[in-house]
Amino acid sequence: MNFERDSARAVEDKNLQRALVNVTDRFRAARKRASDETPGWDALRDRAREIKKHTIAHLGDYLLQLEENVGKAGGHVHWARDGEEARNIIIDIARRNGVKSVVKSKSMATEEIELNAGLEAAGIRAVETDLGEYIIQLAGEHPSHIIAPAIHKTRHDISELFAEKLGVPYLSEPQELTKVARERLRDEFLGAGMGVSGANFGVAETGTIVIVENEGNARLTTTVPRIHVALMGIEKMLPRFGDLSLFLPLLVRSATGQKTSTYISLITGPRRAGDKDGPEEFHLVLLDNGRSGILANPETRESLYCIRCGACLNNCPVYRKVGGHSYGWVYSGPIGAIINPQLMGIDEAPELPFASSLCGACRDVCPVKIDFPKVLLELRSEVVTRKEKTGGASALLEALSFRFWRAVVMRRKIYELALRLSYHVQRPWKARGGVLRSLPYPFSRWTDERDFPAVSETPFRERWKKMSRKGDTL
Amino acid sequence: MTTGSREEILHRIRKGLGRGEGAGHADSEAPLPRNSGPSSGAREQLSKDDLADVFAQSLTGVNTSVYRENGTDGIREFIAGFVSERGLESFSIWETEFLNSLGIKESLEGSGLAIKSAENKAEIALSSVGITEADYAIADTGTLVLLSGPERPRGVSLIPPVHLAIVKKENIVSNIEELFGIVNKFYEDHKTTPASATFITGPSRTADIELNLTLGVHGPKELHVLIVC
Repeated sequence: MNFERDSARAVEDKNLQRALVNVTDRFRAARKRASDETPGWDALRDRAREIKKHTIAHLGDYLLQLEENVGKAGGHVHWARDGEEARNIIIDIARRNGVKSVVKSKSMATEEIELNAGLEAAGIRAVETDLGEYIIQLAGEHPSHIIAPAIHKTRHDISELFAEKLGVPYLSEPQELTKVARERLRDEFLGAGMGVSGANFGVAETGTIVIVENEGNARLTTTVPRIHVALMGIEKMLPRFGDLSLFLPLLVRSATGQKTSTYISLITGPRRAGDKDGPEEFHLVLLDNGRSGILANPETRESLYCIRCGACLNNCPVYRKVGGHSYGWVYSGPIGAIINPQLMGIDEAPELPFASSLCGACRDVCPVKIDFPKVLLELRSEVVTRKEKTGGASALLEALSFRFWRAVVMRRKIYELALRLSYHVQRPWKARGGVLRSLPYPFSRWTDERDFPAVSETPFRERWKKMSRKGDTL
Repeated sequence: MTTGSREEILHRIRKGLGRGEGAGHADSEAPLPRNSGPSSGAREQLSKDDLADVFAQSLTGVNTSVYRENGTDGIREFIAGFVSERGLESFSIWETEFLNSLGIKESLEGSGLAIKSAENKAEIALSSVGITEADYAIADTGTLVLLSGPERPRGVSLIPPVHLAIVKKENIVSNIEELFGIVNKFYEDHKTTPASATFITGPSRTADIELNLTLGVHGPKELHVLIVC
């Protein structure tokens, strides 16, 4: 990944900038309204956080309880240490049943394990059925937002894409495009041997998995084909059935600002004796893929409380400019900045913990109150410590500069002297308005992007003294 | 193949949490926090009539039409009018005790509509309307709750372009907490849940193209709810 390069590119992309403002503004306003209208919203967030904290602290026990109850309902549970194992489990189920084509509903976990590529390589067709994901799949791209995956595409882009890939005439209205997708995907649903979904929650007490959506494609995916496979990250656990009455409203209102989503499916095992439809086989694949490693660090463990609502993306000043693709992997925005480095390994995404202004807007809207700035700082410190260990001239220089800085600011006389000195040294670069516009390297790394305030002739503490004497106010 | 993985993942989790093998619930002294309480939207007890009004208002907010009828004849007449106004030609229907007692199936067949078997997805796909009975409804959000079962195939509320759901006024509850209270009690008594419980709020929708609201992307384009008083 290359956050610096990709984010610079994103900022230049006019369509993307317009789309980002559009989608994030809309979701932000809707979330704000929905949360304001919910009595005791903040107390609900506290309660949800407490439940998540408890659940993660007893994760092994709850996973075993879930396994037992899925089994009692007639389903099968599989455990996958990593993405490759999860892919192989799913491919195996398909092969054993002679499945040639698979329909998929939206799932970040399947993106994470690159399931589609795995299925294709095994000779099994995989079709995304969420409209946004369908568009992305046709275009051969990746989602740019957890909730609205194709938001970086205009209707014009989509019209051309459909004309090229589906052989339909150029259609400019979203309604017409949606109708084409509906018809195409209906055939896919009726012909598919297996449906693969994600899971928003897994309930230990009953062995139920929960899927939240608006389109109905997840319902079709989990109802029509003979086999249903759900892939769930192990952190999605909830202890009790009743916990859903708290978490469902928190998830939907934080995500889209709807009071509730159009469809919520609570699925417990395959069809029962006598049922006329629903899958004959139900498989639940529990995915670790780095999650147990996050668990091991008490400072960052709360990253696992996330319920993937996307509110942190919409409220992040960085995401709102750079978009989802800059984060280089499936998860983007503040949640991506904290979990991508932890799931992929911090050496794979060392830039992400720094892709934040630490303003804390994400923490303020998070339905489970994840303390993003705290986790980001923890990860930053990990990155820096590693860099120092592996050495390199720039790491050494950085460490020395900060040690020097520390020595100066901790000695008052020297600090005052240094300020006075800086006032004179800065002269050649000083521009109108009391700012420095461009400085030589390494300070150019700052001034290339923004101005640096110049050192003032009279330090604040002297002005303050003068004012206090005169009895002035600031 | 996955037995080893299961043990390894559980081991990693225990180790990560700082617990040895077999320590089990070692630090479960922290009790599981409550999931409901006074701050979470408790409201004064409304009568079923008032709840029906709140429910109807919520439905209107999610692009759903609401009707109220009572008495077998009234309901049958309403449904006959509903299908003829829209020129519907075929239907599939749940065969619950209540719907059977109303004789809707017979009356629609009598007026010349083709019945499509609710047992076959390809057949359901050919019907112009699916008729179901909601087990519960949530007034606050305008939500229908449909449980699956032998006489209640899931496809009927999902595959046809129009969905007509019938709900008894007495089954309307005020909010999601009250609903889960009832469902929880059922679970505790029976220790089993149906294979599927579906919450439906409005017609199928998407906003994936430039955030333009489009109805009927995968599921029904129209949702109609008949409250039986």
